[in-house]
Formats: sequence, C-alpha cells, structure tokens
Amino acid sequence: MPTVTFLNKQGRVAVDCQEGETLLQAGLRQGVPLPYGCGAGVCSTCVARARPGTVETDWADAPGAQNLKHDKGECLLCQSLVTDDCEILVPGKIDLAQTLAETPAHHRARLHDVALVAPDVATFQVSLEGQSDYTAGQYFLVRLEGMQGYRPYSMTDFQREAQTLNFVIKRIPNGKFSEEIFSNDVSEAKVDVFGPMGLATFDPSDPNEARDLVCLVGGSGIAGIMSVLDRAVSVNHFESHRLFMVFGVRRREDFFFLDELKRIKESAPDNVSIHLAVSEEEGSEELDAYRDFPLHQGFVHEVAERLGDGMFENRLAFLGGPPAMLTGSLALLLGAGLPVTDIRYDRFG
Amino acid sequence: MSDATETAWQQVCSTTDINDGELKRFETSEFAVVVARVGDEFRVIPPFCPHMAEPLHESGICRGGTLTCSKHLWQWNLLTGEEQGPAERPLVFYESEIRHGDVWAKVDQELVYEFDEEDDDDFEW
Repeated sequence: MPTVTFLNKQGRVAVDCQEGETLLQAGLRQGVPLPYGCGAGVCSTCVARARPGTVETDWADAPGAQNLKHDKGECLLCQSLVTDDCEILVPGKIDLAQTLAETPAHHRARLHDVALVAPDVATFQVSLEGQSDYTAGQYFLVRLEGMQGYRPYSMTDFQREAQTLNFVIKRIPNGKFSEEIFSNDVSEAKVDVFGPMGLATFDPSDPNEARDLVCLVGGSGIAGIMSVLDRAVSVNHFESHRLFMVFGVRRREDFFFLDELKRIKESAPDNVSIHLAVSEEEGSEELDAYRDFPLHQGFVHEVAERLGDGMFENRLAFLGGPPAMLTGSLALLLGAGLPVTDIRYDRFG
Repeated sequence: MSDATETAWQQVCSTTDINDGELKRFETSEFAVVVARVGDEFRVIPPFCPHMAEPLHESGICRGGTLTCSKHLWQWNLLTGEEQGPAERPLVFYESEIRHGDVWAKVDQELVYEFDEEDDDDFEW
C-alpha cells in the first residue's frame, strides 16, 4: 500500500493510500486537515502539488482542473491516484500537526428505491453495510461499482447513526451516473460511498448558529437544505427563530418535496415563510398560490430580492442550486451586508 | 509627458459602459483587463482572481466597495486592493484615470499574480 506524505513549511504527515482511493480521501480518512469543497473535481479547492509524474488523474477534464499548472505538478487531490509512495506539497497555511475531529470513511453500500419525484428529479436511498453519523447539510461521495469517479450527493434529512441515506438526483443529459439512475431503472446496485463531507453545515446547538435562517435554493440544490431544515425542526428551532426561504424551479410541475416543506411550515406557521418561484412561466410577478405556498415569477435571487427587504440582516444563510443561482443569491446577500462567514453552500456544479 | 509614456496609456472603455457595482472585461492592445466601478471611482485590475485565477468578470461580485470572488469567497477592498476576510493576497491595480468621460489605464506592462506559495521555492523536487 503506497505511503503518501503531505508536507509544507509547517511540517509533514504520512498516511496510507488504499487501492483506488484518491489522495483527498486518504488524507481526510486519516485525519489530515486538507482543504476541499466538492470532493468531485469541480471546485478546485483541493489544488496541491506533486512531483511531476508521480500521480495519476482520475478525470483529466475535470472542470476544476482547467487552471492547473501541470508543469509545476499541480493536481486536484480529489482526482489524484497513486500507485507508489509520493510526496504532496499542500498550501502553507494548513497546520499539518492538527487532526480532524471527525473523519469520513469508505463504506460499501447498496443503492435502492429510486423514485421519480419530478420530471427530471428522483430520490434514491443508499443503505450502508455499517452506519454513519453526519452533520446537517453534509454530503457523501457516491460511486456505482465499476463506474469511474465519485459524485457528491447531499442527504435530504438529518439522522444520527444513519444506516440508510436519503438523496435526490437531477437528470443530467449524458451524465453517466444520472443516466444509469434514470434510464435503466436501477432497482438495486452496489455502490461505494465516502463520507460524510462538506462544511455547509448547521448545528443549532452551537450558540453562534441559534439564529434566524434564510434559505435560497434552486431545483435539486434543495437536498442539503432539507437536511438543515429537518435538523432545525427536530429541535423546534423555528419556535424561537424565523425562516425565510425561496425554492425555485423552471415550471411548476418541476416542484417536489412540497409535502415536506408544508410540514416545516406547519411546525411554526408564524415564523416560517416559504415562497416558491418559477423562472419559465409567463405572467406577472405574483402568480396564484401553488399547493398552499405563495408562487412568484422569476429566478430565486430575483424573487428573494423583491420579497426580502430587511429579511436578511443577521441571518445565517444556506444556498443550494446551479452556479448562476448561487452567484445571484450570493450577490444579493453580500449586498444586504451578510458576511461571507454567514453564507454557506457547496459548489457542486 | 514623453511619447513612450503616453503610448503606455490606453483608453479602456467609457465610464458609461459600466454601472455602479459592476465588473467588465475589456481588451487592451496587448492583454485583457477588468474594470470595476464603485460609485464614481473606477479601478482597472488583472482579469483573474489572485487566488486560483478564476475569471473575475464571471466570478467577481462587487457590493459596497467590496469585491468577492464567488469561487472561494476571497474578498478585497476594491478601492485600496487590501485583502479582507479569507483572502491572502491583495489586488493589484493598473494606474488609471478618467479623461473626458473615458477610463484610461497605463498598460505598458501586464500585471500578473504570483500564484506560488511564498515558500514553495525552497522545495526541490
């Protein structure tokens, strides 16, 4: 088994790397506080350097690899595999003497119960051979056995000692995993999963997070937000704190999870404000209510801007959705004065 | 002003090309720049984020005089270039001024960020 040594000016730490395991997974699994975002080749947060020729990439065309300087040995830790011992230079600010308090792990698992919940969205479950804790808002990396590359999926609820994880997936044309789920009607499949991962989390027991929330979400980006809201409801968070949420899709038939959102609304009707938005329907800004929720025309950040005057101050914000929605919502919240430390999201796309 | 100095200055855009709080990319005769507007102030900067070279005209958000790169949330004071929050390197500016309603910048030499870690040079691969 190869030994990977992560090093910088602050020190060095050596870990084992299992066959087929990425350098990021090897490091995180053994408590190395490596920087990462998506864990799946998109965000480029995990850029590091290897001696040229000592690592192989699992996905050369990864979106996050576009700006890499290969002549300097730059690589994405989340897409790098090794077969021999190697040294990896990580950013100097990382304190390699620190060890992660909670470490992700590999799990063998079974994917099952795929269910279409909207024309281009399905839910599915993954049952672990063991169990895992996770923090609300976190995700697991999932890989169909025999298929190259992991995909990140956020859990849609909050559990301790979870044995079955609940996910949502959007249909992506030509996406291998997505096509498999939607086209072949997978009733049972072996999968490898790795997690939990992700920093866009919510812990209401933390005094700094006992606050009003704002959630701006588009399409399947609602997954991790549902976990945050499930956690909040589980501790009656909205009895004493407010929620302002806009959930947007293209057309009203694309909505899903509305029963779940209704339960959240009913848990504290006076403090929970949930609005729906559709971006591709003609009409005035204010449309007829849909499934008991107020319905608006426009993109999520546009609707939030129209409705949210004074609603964002001092709130903790959670975002989920495609890149344009994230950027628009981020601009809105920054303009409203929220510090970046109070705005949480994963950039998966 | 000598000819050489004068030719180093180029008209980049009109002040009316950019709204308050907006970032736009423009091409000079030699390379690209991004022009940012904060009120009546304009700044001309390299087109890439000092962090991981994201194209700032796409990833940058300018609000209240603060520039945020949405990729990893590095932030700067857009008027001074000073880093804020998690940012670890300052923004650099091209010398610029307004002439008759146009933004001009001294673009005789392309400004590039040194993306290496400060201490990387000591590592001999």
